[in-house]
Amino acid sequence: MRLLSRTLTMSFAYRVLALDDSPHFRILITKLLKRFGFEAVETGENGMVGLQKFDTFKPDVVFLDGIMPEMDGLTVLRSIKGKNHTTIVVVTSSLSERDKVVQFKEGGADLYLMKPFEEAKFQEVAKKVVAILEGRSKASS
Amino acid sequence: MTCPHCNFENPLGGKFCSSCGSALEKACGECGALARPDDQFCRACGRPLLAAANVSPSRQPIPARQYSRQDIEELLSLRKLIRKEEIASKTLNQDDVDKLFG
Repeated sequence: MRLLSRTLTMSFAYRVLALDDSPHFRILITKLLKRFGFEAVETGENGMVGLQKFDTFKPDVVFLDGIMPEMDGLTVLRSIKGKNHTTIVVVTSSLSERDKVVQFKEGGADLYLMKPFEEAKFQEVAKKVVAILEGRSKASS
Repeated sequence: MTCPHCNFENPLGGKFCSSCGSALEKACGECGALARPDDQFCRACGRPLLAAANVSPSRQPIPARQYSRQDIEELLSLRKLIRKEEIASKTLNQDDVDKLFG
């Protein structure tokens, strides 16, 4: 994945939880999220840990790996949406089979970022996430 | 089961010969029970079985087609293309996913 040298100056108070069994990916996505402007970023290495952190950290957004040990991404997604359906879930997965992607869509995923991805694509997704959250803030104020 | 038309030895359970397409079983015109092609009388109702019932009009023996090497290569390349399209239709790229998620 190519990292852009451009530094973004935006800053967001939204809380982001990134769940992925790859330590390298967790480091990478944390870096990308912070570079984009998300200051509160927490990570988890599997679905079980993820759901525990979801309860304590109360994220606005979850970046969710599709395939993880202990509990697969689809189960985690359904559980998260069952706990709080307003949480934005971005599935980050290399799964490209139509059936699998549709399952995530039907499970309530808001966005789907296919691995591997370019930073520009990540930023596009992150902008969509922020737009949704800010749209909600304006609607509720 | 041996085909009564071409004597090809077919695996069990088939209704038609895999070599010539002839029926491997016939139905009694009276009660509809299935019988083997060489049966003369229905085992279910005892009525005589007509030889003509052996082969249905839509399953008349089809003469074996001879394929040239070029035909075979074209068919194989067509099959590869169909497989590729099947795989492509089942997998998505990021643009497809974006459309799916609106």
